[in-house]
Amino acid sequence: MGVLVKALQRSRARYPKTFELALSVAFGILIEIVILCFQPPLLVVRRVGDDTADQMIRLLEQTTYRMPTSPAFVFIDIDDSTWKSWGSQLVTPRTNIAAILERVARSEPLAIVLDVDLAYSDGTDEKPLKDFLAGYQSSWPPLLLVRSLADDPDGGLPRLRLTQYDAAIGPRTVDADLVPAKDNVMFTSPLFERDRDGKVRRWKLFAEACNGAAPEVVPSMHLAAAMIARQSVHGAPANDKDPPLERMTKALAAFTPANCERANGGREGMLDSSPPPIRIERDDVSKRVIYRVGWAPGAVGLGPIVELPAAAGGGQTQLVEVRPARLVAQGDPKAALPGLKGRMVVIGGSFASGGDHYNTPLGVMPGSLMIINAIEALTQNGTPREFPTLFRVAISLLVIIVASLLTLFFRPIVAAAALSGFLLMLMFALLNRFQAGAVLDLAVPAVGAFVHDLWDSTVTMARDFWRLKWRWLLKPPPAGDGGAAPQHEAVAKEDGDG
Amino acid sequence: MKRWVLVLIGGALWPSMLLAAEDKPKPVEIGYIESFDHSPDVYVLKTGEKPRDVAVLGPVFNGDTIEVNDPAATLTLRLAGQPGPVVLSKANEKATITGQIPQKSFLSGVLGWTASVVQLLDREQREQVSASIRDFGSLTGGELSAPLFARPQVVLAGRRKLTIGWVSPLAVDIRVLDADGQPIASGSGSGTLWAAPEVDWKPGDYTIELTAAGDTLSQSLHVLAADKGPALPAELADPAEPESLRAVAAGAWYASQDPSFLLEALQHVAPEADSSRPAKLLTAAFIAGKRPPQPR
Repeated sequence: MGVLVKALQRSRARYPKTFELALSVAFGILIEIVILCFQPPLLVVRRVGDDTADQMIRLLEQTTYRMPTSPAFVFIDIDDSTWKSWGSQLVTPRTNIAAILERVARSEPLAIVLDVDLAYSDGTDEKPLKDFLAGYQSSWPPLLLVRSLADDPDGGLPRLRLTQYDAAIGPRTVDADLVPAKDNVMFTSPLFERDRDGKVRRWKLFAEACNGAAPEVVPSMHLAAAMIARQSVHGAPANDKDPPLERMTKALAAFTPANCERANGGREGMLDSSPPPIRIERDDVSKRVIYRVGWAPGAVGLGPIVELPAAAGGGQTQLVEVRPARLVAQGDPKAALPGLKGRMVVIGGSFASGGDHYNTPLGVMPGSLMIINAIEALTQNGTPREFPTLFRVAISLLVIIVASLLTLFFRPIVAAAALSGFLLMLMFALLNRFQAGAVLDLAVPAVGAFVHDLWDSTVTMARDFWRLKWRWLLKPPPAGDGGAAPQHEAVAKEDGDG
Repeated sequence: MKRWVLVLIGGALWPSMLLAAEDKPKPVEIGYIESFDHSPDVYVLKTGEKPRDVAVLGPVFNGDTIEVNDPAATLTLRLAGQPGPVVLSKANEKATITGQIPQKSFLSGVLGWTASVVQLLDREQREQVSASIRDFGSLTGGELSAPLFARPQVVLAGRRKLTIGWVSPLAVDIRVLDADGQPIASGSGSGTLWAAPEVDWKPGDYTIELTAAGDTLSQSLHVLAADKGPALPAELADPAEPESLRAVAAGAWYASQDPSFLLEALQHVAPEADSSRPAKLLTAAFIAGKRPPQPR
């Protein structure tokens, strides 16, 4: 031990800079190991990771002009003028919803996502919508409806908020004949996770809930729609030719909670193995929504250019075409709408009084656009994944070495700015991989660099304190009064040690 | 010799000519038809040389041509990059439609990104300020705050007093206006509660305005026919139970159904707040926009 200490002292005396650098790198690696192995619940780690990913999402949105393999969307928007023309009602009139749904269903879209919670009554008997859903034809596209959940005050699983339309699409008796549930209409959950800073960065792929005494898994709206879109883009997997919603229901069965008392949590598994896969994992990275489209009120189209479905005659369009709902509702309900063929149609609201607006890394957007972003990301990338361990370790080492070198040669404020610039360059370099769903969590190396910097400052302070004793408490005199002298002395002393 | 040179040059250029032919740009959707006021056969819409149907919400592609053949007819388009509608008539002759989908290159994207970072920071800060108006916890004392009216409210029709509440301990001027903007009830309240005199509330849309310290808060109020509202559980109408208990239970039940029924809930508990501790607690909670969970 003594020999080792002496050897270290000799190295320090001979090569003071190299010794400092080696010490810095070793310390940085130690911090990395502590953070990675013990996973302390440090808010700063998550915050730095989120900030980095947010920046990359914004950069991606600004620089992506074309996405050839993405599905095309149409957002039928209950905007402010639509809401006003419908009488500014508290609950969206169900008759209008029925009229829109009928026209859209007859227009051969890929699927219909109705982002309107039907659990509330509009004060009428709502017969048109009930009749429409009861008569929804098996040849029409899949229709996804919202299933909202009511929290259980006793801490158990949330309860399904059943609607008066459940009976119209579930198994029922008509003229003494048992009619099975409609397999192309499904209730789904529109839930996402909101962070403490109010931003929505992560999705939930399913919700655990209770229907009476029976535990259930409610698939998310974005998962169900993405399953449909993926099958239309890549075809069905070779080993399972079932329709996409059926495949999803089978895969989700394994996640059904044992009882209504509490959530399962922590389970992992595959939901769709077609590349890129959709997996349920415990980490934060797999839940991250890689947003591509921000909101611009009044815009006709949003997002990068995508190919139109061949069924629609080809051509190109923006990822999301926005159409006001009032124009859809006022036409002949039996008439198909032009321009919807082969596209994913999302019906929702951006009207201000709806309160369905959320803060995201791309700014505030309506909930429906958040769902479109999630569908698109799941279709294109599956669930995001981290880079291979070896690559992550190499990147971490690189960041530590660069941070150590910078703090060795520059003042802390300059070193911090230079490190930010370096991290930015790293983000540019990895942008293509990020677009493909590979998320590099720069939180750990960045926090490592931060703690390392903090350590450096603490060591310097301790040395000053040791040298100056109680005089350390006093403000140093200005440089002209000899205030700079002690600093020079300190440097000289360090050099003198060599 | 010259001929051979030409053949060689032609041969060398042939693949690139083929490629150029294949690279013919595809039509890009740039907007849609918002409306037209005559029969569709008055208008001629073409993509390239291919005629297409004219229909409301029909997509329009870059380079499409539209001809209006009737001097009295117009056709309105919504196009990317145009802030307002584009109206075409016969005067436009054969109009070629172009729109602007923002081009994104890496360099311009990086510049835009830098600008957007600044914009986002600015926007977030503004959101925080406006959010604080509704935030009871961060109330500074001088601002009018009424979380109860954070969203439109619904009450049941009938002859009754209307109690209105806010959380800032301020003198507040209150007005309830009908759909034509005529005041139905008005007055001034201090503290955190005010009750309008009895009015026969008819079903329809109204507006509630609260004004204090230079701030005006406006929210819509929908009066629903009494038989159209959610049906109270039968046990809450049991005359054997004390009146105050039934009022408190009814208030809690309405509030649990939907946030838009908070004002209706307040009508049940506020009159009992002086004599009943549970009613007092619920009154304060409803004014602060808080709701009990749904009964199981």
